[in-house]
Amino acid sequence: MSSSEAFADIKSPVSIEFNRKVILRIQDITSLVYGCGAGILQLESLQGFGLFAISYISVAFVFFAWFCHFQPGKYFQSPVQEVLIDSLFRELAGFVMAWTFVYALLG
Amino acid sequence: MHLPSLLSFFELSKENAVAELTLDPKLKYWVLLPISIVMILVGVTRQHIMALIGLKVKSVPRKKITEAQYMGKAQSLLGNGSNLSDESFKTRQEYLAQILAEGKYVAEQTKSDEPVNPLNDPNASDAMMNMAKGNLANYIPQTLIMWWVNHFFAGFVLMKLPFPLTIRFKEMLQSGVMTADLDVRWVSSISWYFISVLGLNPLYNLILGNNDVDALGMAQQQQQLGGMPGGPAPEVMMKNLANDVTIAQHETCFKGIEERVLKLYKN
Repeated sequence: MSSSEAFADIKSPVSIEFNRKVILRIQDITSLVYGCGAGILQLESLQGFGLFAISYISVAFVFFAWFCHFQPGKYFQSPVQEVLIDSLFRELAGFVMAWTFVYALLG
Repeated sequence: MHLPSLLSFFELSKENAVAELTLDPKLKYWVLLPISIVMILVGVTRQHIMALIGLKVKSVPRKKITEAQYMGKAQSLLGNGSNLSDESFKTRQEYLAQILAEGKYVAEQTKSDEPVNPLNDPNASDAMMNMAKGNLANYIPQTLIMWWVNHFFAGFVLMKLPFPLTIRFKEMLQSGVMTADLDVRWVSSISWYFISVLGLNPLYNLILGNNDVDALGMAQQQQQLGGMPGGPAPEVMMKNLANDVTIAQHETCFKGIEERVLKLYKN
């Protein structure tokens, strides 16, 4: 057994937590900004939610490419679950809030 | 679905837009903004109050730490012992087995056969107190704001939502507006309250950010040292560990290391 195999299972809870915080922060800020954008553009119903879906997926992709160098498995235990699913409703709620707010302010 | 058909779908969703109402523009500045500002400020205040009343730095007696660390030492010897040479493993094995079997570093001799009531344990009750405080700090401001919004800003349409809702939301989101046929997209101030309650988490994270990292690390440490309230007594755990250490099989990774290194760098 080589040493890299032996240490593959060793995980640092501090680093796991830190990585989770980084992706959460990025998602928070992008979903709020895109929500404001949707409000400024006065998008309605499906267009707004479409913008959210596009932004959410593209942000996750850029994160994988830029921060993880296409190896998200090195930084997350289950990348898709942690990056895409766990914070979906939180970010959707944030997006809807920013969208509604700006839409009402400018409309 | 092709792109043109998708576009026409969007157009269609745009077409069945509702009749426009003209709202007083001052509603935005005197209702929408104040509610938002109050909600954000309440969230920030709640965070600071929680930091003040919760999570004091708990001190653990030194004996407890020694006990926990000796147990950790035995566990890491069991886990990582293959990285030691034979002699050093033997030395540690003998020493730890003896120390742990003697119970030299057991912090306090527990009275046997007396299960500790978790309610009487000061650590556990502290944790429960904190939880209760957290819940209170969540519910009291929310109830207050909801009452405030309902009381001060009731009875008029505040804003238009950018997305359609089903008729079932009418009751909740248009409370106090006496129009039977008004589309659900026109909503009163209480719905802005609901939307921001749901959506403010990302904003709080950005505003407050970062300062709960230390708190988390501290909580972890405490959990490690405090141990489980209902778990086995440290004495028993030490005895078990001593047995484990005594019978541990050791295979050093230095066995035949010369050949392996030479093979690795042969080419």
